[in-house]
Amino acid sequence: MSSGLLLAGVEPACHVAQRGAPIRRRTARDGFTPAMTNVDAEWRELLLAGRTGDAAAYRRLLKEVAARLRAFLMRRLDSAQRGDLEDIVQEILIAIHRHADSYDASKPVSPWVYAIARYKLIDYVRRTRRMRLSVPLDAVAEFLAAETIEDAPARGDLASLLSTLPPKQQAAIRGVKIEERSVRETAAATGMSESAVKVSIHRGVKRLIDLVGKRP
Amino acid sequence: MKTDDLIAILDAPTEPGPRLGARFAVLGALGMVIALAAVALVYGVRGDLSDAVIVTLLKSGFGAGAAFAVAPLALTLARPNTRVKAAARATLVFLGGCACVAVADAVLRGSFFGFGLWGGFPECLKRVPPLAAPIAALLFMAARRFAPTRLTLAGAAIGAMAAGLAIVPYALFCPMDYPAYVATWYLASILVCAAFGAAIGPFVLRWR
Repeated sequence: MSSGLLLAGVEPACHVAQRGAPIRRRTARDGFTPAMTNVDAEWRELLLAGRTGDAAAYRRLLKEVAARLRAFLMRRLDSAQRGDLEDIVQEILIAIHRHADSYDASKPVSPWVYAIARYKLIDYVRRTRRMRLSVPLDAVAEFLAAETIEDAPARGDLASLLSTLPPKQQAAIRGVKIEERSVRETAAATGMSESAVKVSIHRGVKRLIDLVGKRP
Repeated sequence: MKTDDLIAILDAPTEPGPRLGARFAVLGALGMVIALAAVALVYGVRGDLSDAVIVTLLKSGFGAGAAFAVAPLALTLARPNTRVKAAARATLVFLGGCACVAVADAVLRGSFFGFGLWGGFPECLKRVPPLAAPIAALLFMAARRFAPTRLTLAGAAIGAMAAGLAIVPYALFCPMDYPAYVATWYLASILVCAAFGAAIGPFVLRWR
């Protein structure tokens, strides 16, 4: 993949699922074991599928990224910072969600994920002024090698965050996302039109992730 | 809240996002038009332009070549990334080319005359950065949307690219035609703009 091809305007189409497109695979030379290369390839598939609307693939990607982030961060945060660990993981997931279309499909995906994670970590250090945290620029292999740790609750509660939203958005999100009913059922139950439900979900989620992102 | 809950409410993106390359191209072109207007109205086109068409085209070509050489680096740095060495190759080749031209001119001419220092302070160092500023502003706006993670380097690359694009119309004004002059002082003005870009990158490119 010659870098010369990355001229303005001659960029690979990032939003067509390019499972067969050749990318420069990381090798043992970069410190990647075959297992890590597999993880990288799997995440890439999930992200590309997610970008074309596959919600299940997208969620699975976020869960797997979160699991590895937890393990990676556990080793790097000191005990005073560990209380914030889940909050940091959530901020990184939100950043990945917001900027999912910045991933260039012709490149490996784990450096992209790691770069976002590192950026948000540095932000955290700057904000809380807890200086003892070193995040090397190129610890992608270490990040992928970290074992996975399953979910742990962070501060705050979805229910209480939801209650800060206007009633329409609360009802829409509760119906479709939490009780997992269809848009049509939720529309019928709440008396809103289907498009009103969709708009309310969209706005409500946006507000929620803004709230999550603003935590001190 | 539980992270699983957070993930449950995040929707997969359904619309394709904008394309960075296309945005850079459009905004770069727009910026060049603005710079062209500034050259025509403020600096003034050189009086002997009709005699110097080829040389002017070559000097504009230098600017365009610089912009294209830095573009892969700027496009890579505008996104989250940890490794940029491959993208930097074109830039390094360009720098090498400039060095070769400068050395060749000095050797063939047998003196440093071609570097134009007899003319006093190289004007392009003062005049190119203001032309590059609006172009850089437009490119920064585009890049910010794509979540750059190495802000100083991204700022430098965008500053350099803006300078290259600014040189394209600047050649219409500049009266110095020596290759060594162009290879050294035009390049120096690109580096000055890169330095400015590097300085403001960490502030302007910050995203949430």
